[in-house]
Amino acid sequence: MTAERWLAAVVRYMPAERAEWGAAMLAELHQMKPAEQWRFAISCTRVALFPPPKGGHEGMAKGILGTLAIVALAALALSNPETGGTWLARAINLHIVTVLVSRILLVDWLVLAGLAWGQAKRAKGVEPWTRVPAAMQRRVRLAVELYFGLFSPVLYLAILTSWPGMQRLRTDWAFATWIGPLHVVAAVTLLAAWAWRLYGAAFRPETKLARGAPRLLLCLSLVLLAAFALKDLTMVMPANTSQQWHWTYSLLTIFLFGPMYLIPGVLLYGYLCDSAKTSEFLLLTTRTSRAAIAAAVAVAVLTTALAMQRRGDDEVKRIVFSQSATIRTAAARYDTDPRLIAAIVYVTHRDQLSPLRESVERVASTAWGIGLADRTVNQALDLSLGAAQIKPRTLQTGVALAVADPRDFSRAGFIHVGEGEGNVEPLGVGWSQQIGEKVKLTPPIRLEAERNEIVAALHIPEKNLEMCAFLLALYQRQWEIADPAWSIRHRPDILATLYQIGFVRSKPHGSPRSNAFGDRVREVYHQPWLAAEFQQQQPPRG
Amino acid sequence: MLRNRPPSEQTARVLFALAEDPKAWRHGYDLCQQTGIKAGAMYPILIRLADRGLLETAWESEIPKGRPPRHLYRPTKAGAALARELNEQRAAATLRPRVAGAR
Repeated sequence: MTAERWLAAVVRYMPAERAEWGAAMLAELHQMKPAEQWRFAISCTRVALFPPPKGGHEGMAKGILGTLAIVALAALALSNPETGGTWLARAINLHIVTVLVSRILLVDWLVLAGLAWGQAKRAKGVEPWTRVPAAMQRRVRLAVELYFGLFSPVLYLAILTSWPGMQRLRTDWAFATWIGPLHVVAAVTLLAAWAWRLYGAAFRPETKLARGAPRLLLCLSLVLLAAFALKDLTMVMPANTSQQWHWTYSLLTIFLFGPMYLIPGVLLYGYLCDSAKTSEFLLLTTRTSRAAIAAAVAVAVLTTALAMQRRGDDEVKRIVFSQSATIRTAAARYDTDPRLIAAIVYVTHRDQLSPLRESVERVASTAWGIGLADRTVNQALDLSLGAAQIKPRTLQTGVALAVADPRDFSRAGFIHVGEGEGNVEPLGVGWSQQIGEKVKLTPPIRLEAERNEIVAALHIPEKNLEMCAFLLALYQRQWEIADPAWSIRHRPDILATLYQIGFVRSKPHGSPRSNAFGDRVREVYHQPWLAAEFQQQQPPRG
Repeated sequence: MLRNRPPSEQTARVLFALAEDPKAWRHGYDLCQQTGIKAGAMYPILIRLADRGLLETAWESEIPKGRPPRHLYRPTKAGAALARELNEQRAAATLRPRVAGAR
């Protein structure tokens, strides 16, 4: 091993933005006498491995301060969930209003025009926006990329699984079977592209991976964007071409949402065409990127370690025993099996691994309780709450099913109650007829209850368990009404499965099968300690 | 925005060495030898000076056969001005009479 080889090996690890200095050190080494070379090479090693950060310590300090601010804000919100939820709701509503105003003022189209003009200039070899400082240009571009390239696609991928149009598409469209895989590929590509932007600089730029990955991700993103644009264009085109308003509606939709597809398209095309821009695809410097990887690994390890600290068996049993009387009362009111409710409580408490679950639930449910202007965000914040892990909208749907008027059913598969379909979950064909009269259940909360009332009730263990009994009773009755000669009353696995999958897939049929949750509930249901606590004859195993 | 922090003693030495003849290009190893600063400290100083626009860098244009081009350094106008300013400050500090009791 010579000093030259040593230094050459070490400077390969220098970040791309400092590579020039590594070459400078190597060139100097050639000028020295062999006796001095090793001393020089060893001295340079520290610089090669830990070069001064680009942007100086101020840049690093800003990054650390920014990270600390985000962590402090999250910690504050989680430690005071009601306030955190209120902030979250206000922030989301503010965002919705901002988007609405920007649509009216055609901001999206102006952004698109600006980007397209810049791209056209670059194609001619002219640098656009020369009067705007470079730092300002970078910040504006990053903001546009974050909004149109990350925030919007994430919302988009979250929307389409529950969007009513999607339900129609699943059955009407010949290519409907491609949508699921397309969504998965899009989600993975989106994640990979942004992960590469954050962590890609950690890899040496001359490697095949570092050269090929960004181009592959950019090409794939562009293809997926085109596929989604084509699919959505097909969907918004009027089915009934004879009516003028159908065309107006379709064209207005295309005008409003067009930039959401075109802006990412121009951004991706720009990165692909301009090889100089490809380096800007990476958001962090090598040093920061390596630090970010280390931080991400540390957070993952810490979260896993915290998650592993789940409640022990004895602790969860104590929770179940402490609610024993309440469970019996709730079960008696709705004629359900108390042991099943207890088994559900045990499983939801014992098997949940999220260390911050309760705080996150409180933040999200407070925001949901305030009521948000956007249905998609509402659905995202509709988390399972309390002792038996019930979603507020599931409860609303159950209450609506128990008392709904047939006139509220506008079309098969959907139900309109109170403020509209946003308040209830989509229903499967098994619920397409009014059954309120037949189930004869008095819901634990009134149909007109405000959102914050529902959330508050779900956080009270006694009410939560009563609601659990009510929902189980609904499924029991649904299946008994479908076939009076047969019942799932003694099938804890099937009832637990229905309890988890919800109303959309609860259509009664002759050969029901349990899912993993149902199997786990059945396993706990048959444990002797639970049978002893609830002193009930053990039903035959299903 | 970069803070106007006074340069360290070692950075000042590098600046003074470069400012002796602001138009002349210097090599890293020469600077190490002149200032007595080791390469491990010299290169971070040069990198920071270049980042702050106080140092101009270039590669040798005429390269003798058998060795790679060397990296060359000379102070920018701002770098030379800073060296002069530091020099004047030091001269003023040396001439200032010490006040009794002052540290």
